[in-house]
Amino acid sequence: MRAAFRRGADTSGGGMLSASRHRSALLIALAGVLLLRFAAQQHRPLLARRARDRLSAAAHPLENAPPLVAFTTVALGGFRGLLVDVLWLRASHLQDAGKYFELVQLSDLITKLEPRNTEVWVYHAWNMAYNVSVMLPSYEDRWRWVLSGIRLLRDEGVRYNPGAPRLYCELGWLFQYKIGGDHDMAHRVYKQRWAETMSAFQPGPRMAYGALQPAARRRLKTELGLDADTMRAIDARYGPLDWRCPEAHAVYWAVAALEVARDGLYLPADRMLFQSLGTLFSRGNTAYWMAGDKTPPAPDPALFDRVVDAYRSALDRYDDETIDYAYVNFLHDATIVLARANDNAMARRAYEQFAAAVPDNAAVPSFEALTRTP
Amino acid sequence: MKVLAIAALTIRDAVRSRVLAAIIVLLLVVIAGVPFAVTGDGTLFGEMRVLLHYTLGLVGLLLGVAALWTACGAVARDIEDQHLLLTAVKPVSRTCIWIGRWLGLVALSAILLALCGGLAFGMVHAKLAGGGVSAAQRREVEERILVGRQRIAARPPPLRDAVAERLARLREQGVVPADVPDREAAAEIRRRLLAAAAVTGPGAARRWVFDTPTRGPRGGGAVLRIRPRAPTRDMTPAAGTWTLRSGGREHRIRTDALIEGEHLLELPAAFMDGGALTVDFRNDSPATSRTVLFPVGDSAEVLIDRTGFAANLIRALFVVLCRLAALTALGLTAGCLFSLPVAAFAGTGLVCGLLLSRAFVAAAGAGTHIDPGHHGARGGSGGAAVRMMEAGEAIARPFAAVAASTVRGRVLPRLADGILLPGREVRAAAIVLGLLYPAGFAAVGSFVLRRRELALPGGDWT
Amino acid sequence: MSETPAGASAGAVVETSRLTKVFRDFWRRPKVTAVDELSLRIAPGEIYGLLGPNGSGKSTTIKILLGLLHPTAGEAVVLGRPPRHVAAKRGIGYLPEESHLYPYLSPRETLTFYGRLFGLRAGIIRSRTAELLDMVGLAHAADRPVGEFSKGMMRRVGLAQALINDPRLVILDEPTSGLDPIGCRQIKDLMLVLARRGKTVLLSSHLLADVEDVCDRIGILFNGRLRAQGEVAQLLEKRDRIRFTVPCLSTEQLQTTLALLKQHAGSEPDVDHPSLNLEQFFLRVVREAHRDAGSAGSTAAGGAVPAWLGDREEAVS
Repeated sequence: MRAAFRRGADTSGGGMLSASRHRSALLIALAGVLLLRFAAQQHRPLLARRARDRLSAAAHPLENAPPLVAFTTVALGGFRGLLVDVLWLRASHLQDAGKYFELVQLSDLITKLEPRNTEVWVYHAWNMAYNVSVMLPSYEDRWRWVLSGIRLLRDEGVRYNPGAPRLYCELGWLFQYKIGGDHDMAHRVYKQRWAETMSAFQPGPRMAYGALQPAARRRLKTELGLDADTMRAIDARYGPLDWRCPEAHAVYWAVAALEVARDGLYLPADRMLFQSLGTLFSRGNTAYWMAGDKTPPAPDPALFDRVVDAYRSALDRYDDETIDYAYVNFLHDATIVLARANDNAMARRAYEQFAAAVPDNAAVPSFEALTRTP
Repeated sequence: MKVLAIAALTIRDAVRSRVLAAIIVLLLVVIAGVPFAVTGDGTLFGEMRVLLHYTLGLVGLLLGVAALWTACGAVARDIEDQHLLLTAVKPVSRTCIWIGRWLGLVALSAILLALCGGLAFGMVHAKLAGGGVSAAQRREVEERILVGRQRIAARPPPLRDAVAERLARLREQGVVPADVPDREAAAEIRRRLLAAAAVTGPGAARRWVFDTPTRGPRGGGAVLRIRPRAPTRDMTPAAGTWTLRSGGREHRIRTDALIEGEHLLELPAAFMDGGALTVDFRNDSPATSRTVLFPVGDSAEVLIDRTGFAANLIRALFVVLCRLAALTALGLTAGCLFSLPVAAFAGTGLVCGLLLSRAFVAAAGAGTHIDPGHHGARGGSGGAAVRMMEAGEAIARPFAAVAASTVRGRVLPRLADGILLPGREVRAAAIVLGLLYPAGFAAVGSFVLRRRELALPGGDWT
Repeated sequence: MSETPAGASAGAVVETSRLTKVFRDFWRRPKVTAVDELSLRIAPGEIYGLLGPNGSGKSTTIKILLGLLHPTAGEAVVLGRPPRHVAAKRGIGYLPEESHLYPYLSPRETLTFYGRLFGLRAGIIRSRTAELLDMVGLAHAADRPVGEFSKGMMRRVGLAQALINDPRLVILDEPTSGLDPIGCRQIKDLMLVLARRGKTVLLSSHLLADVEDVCDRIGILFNGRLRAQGEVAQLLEKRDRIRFTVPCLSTEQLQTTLALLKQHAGSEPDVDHPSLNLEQFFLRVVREAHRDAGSAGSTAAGGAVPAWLGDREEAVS
């Protein structure tokens, strides 16, 4: 009797209930599908918005990353940070113990695990090029480590973060200060090795773009990260430069930084630009480094106007009085350099610009006093 | 014989299941892929060291995980699938079952490890024989990596009395506050004395004493490896005279360009006579030399050629095998207690905890910004955090002690550095990791199996 | 551990005294009383059938006797020792209800493995393996993985492993489950042979026809309690009736006999022809079909029971 009653209930009311339950389920599923579709459609506009507002260093997350790196960064999830910490501690420990052979590998792993963190790239490149290199007695070994730092930034760092001007600047500074500077006892070796490397593409004082074979262009790109057309454009605007000098490469990477900077403004890149051009102006030839020539470096007067243009461009675009001081100092030094090179006409021109640039309340020495040989 | 029957069954199970094939494929991928994936420091020597270390390290890691998880499943699956019923009703004790499973899994690990070791050995020699390797690079690798050199450290400087005397004097003078524990103050004084001992200025001298072994070196001889540090980055060399004394004999060696890095001084074979070898370095005068630092520790050590690379590799692999045996034992016992996923998770968690405990205890001992050196202000803002750290340290200490007994110093870095793994260390690994720990786990595992009702549905305990 | 617990009867192969098993949940609360104060005694050489509906406690009792479960109360003695004693298991052969064989082993490897667990010499294992596989009709599949077998073939392998050690006590849990009528008959014949050779057989089943054919004594369990126990013939005998079986009579002789019987019995007697049971009829038909076709079918006919089953000489290595 009870069973019959239950069966009757199922027949009379259960059918309607189950039909409406089916309908609800269908509606919910349909709503879910529509919502997912809507969310998927927002993906591209959101990415475009992110790129437009410079909310991240690249338009698409890890779009240049090899599949394995992209997969690993997602698959490891929250453990990625922990793994990075472990590897970093190991690297520090090995470095303190003077065991450097694994550092390149560890730096590679750490940066690959945090590919979007520019600070990680900057630290490890700097660590290899500066901290590790000076611990080695052999200058050739030091050069190896400087190159390792450069390669880390140039071949990997900017590849994963093409929109990060900071990385381009860090790369340029390695050329400007580590190779181009003179505070490292092995700086001559650095300059010589770099000049030898570039001599394979530029045998003479200037790059002959017309004579550059396609294979050489490809090698320039793959081995040194340099685009021949960009170099030509830089030569046209800021040069012609002697690409055997490290400062020319500082200019290259400064220009690259400005291209990806928001509104083309990034003061560190502009500083690197006019400082490197200034150095190229004051000692533009590399025979001194390459052949161990006793001839001291000589200025490249052709670059004087380029440097002035670079300073003036920076003065126009930035409101920073340190640029004014730097400009005045450059004109002061340029006057002396040109006078010592017996280019009095150019020296006087430089002096006139110096005198015009000095602030009103500062005393301006005479041309003769400035250029008098001590 | 029953134990061997169960061991053979275990091996057959692994071979006929896809697990072993998958592990072998992974291992081959690692061994084949690591040379393409790792980056050295630009030298063949550095690349070889990284290659050896990473290849064998990854192999050890893979085999460790595989050993642990396979062991967890060996008994747990048998209980869940009730295959163990037919074995349990036979006249074989639960201990026999546990030991048989363990032996089978360890035998498998040994085979895989031997295979990987052979491949790594071949890879190293293939790389050495490959094109683009200069004679100098080859010689450097053969002399510094493909060897097994016994490393003899200098006797530690006798600092205890000096530390005690200085602590007493500083307390008397009121330099050390009263609330600083003796242990902390003594540690700091010791650190400073060691730092001071490292400095050898112009005109100063430094002494090391080595206890040489009675067995003489084989063909390659013995060298004194010194690693001086320069106090500044100008790399100005120091110059001085090394005087070696042993059993009434004396030998002098002059070094004119002692700069930071690694230097090797040949030691006459007669000085390896089982007695004390005294090495004195006298720095030249300020006019011709500079200060040089010899940090207490590994700045000077005697290296004696004992074996080739193959023998050292076998020792290293044997130690790794002993660790795998301990892991297998852990996994088997966990499998006796829990189901496969729970056993695998618990076993992995325990191993991770052991590995991290030493680092945690070391870090806690070194102090933090909350409580540098445990001088924590009681009731101050860091008080609760300090107490939590101390509680955590107390919990971690026994784990760290266990971990210390299992990981007695790095095996693979020493192999990659051409340093011979001492026989006593290998024996200790065999006894502690290969016998004692497995015996303990065996006792627990067989007790659990005896208590467990194997015929319950799903293998549950209740 | 004592060799023979107090109270055990001398000579009994299996003896339980108020054996109780209560299954508990995770919080140790009693959930099910599977066996409730079970006291039974199995003498050497008899075939004892443990009957009962599903869930009556038959398998639980057997698992306690094998040491696979621990009793909550009471005692059990098997071959003079507690069930969990390793030495007790030397004389036991067990065929479980479900096949718990390792699927990646072949029958030969299975028997070799279990033979080694009994400590048998290699040569003995080899010869016994061959004979047992022949007996159960699996010689042709001796080297195929058991995982590829049908349920019936697995049962045969299970039976073979239960006999590898020439056990004194054979415990069969649902031995005919999954077997065709021919297989069932072979199992029953085997049990009879084993009993004749002095072995003790403990049989658990809910198939009454199988039990009736072979068992000397039976015990009937319900809700873990022993409801009835005794010899089959005695339990099933209808003492208030008598049946005569005679050759066929002529009509006249039949009438005379019936009248005489009616006169003495006081009621009309039932007369019919005795019948075969269905199993006997089935086996006769199949035998005739085999004879006509000369084929073995998908299941090979089993071989003879090996002579060493029942031979008391130990063959332990």
